[in-house]
Amino acid sequence: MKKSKKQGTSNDLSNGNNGVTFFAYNNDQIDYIKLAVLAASAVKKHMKNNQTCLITDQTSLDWSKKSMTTKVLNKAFNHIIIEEPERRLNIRKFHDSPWTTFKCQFENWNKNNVIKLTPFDKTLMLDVDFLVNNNMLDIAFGLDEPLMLYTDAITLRNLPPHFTSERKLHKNGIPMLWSTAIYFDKNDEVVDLFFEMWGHVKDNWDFYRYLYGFQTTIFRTDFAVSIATHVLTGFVKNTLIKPLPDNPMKYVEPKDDIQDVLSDGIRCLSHKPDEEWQHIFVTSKNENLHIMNKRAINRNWDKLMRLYE
Amino acid sequence: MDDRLERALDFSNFRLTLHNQKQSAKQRAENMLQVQYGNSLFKADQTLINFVKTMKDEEYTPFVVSDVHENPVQIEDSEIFLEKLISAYASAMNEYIISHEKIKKARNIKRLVEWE
Repeated sequence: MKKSKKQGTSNDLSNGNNGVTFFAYNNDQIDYIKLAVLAASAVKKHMKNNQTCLITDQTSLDWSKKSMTTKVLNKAFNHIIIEEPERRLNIRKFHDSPWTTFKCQFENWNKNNVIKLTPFDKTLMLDVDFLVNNNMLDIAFGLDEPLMLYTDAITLRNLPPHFTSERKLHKNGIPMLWSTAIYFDKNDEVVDLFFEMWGHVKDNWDFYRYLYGFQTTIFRTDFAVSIATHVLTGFVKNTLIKPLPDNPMKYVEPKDDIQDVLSDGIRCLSHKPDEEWQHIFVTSKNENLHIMNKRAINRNWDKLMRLYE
Repeated sequence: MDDRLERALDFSNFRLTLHNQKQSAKQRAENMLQVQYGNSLFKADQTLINFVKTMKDEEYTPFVVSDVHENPVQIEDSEIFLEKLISAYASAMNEYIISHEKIKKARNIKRLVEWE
């Protein structure tokens, strides 16, 4: 069942029917809608194409109406679409600094349906832990490229990912592309093919795991996107999907933490992957940030919301 | 711990943080050099600015340049294109030098990460 209703209004400064879409399904550990409200507020503050859409389930939405009020949701989102997730088992291990881990169900099976669900012609699909801090992604909406994502990423230390599994699907395998932020024009045929192929990889996950030689049993959309791109490119180096304008994506690793929120930036603690007890401070300003430590966002949610007021 | 080693390690930590903040400022400047013209993306670096200026001065219009995705793009109005490139270059470099000077003046980690 799909239900779409327009809630609230925003200053619509976008050109045409463009916008940003988020998926958020709460679980017993993480309030994804709360994170989405923050991410949407950041979009509204920094981007011109700032219409927003939340795709969620009824239970998560009901909880958010109680915990954050309808007024907060209306301010953050122009559209709320109810789409029940597939609820297939997908238990993922999360980190909060090097010292804490927890496990919970991760609902990402239906992300490829965004092409059918998004109310926008040109959509930027963002993960709820991606905080927009500049207007670079607006450029994507004006380019002659129907499909773009981050092809590379760097840590807070301005280094490429330490672990092979965040650079490649296998040590001798294809490069990993990031599904954290995907820009697409839903009226483009190749885009349609891409999302269909993503769905095919999902439906045959065990086969593709074997074929591409990776160990992880959880469904990773980064991997699904990388495989779909590899197939559509003709099984050679990616020439099909172009990088987003501010590629590489900067990310706060799950074992990093937010130390404080400044009036114009975020100060983080960055751990050293091979000596996890060693940290440095990093102050980030005007950089889009994928903050993978979701509990760190939650701890600093009020301060971060003030940053995006 | 030996005082000499403690001071050296403190300095080492400071240098690491300093280098990282400089890299971030540089990365931000690189991003700011991106310019959209028509439906294409260009990097407003010194080479492209000089090339476009040369073509404009030689009244060689329209002319073709490659965008960041290596697609050939025909430039119809070299004046507007050049203006956009110079404006992006100036904004990026001005922000870069302000950040760089601030980082350079910081003599301890707290200053570097704006703790004080």
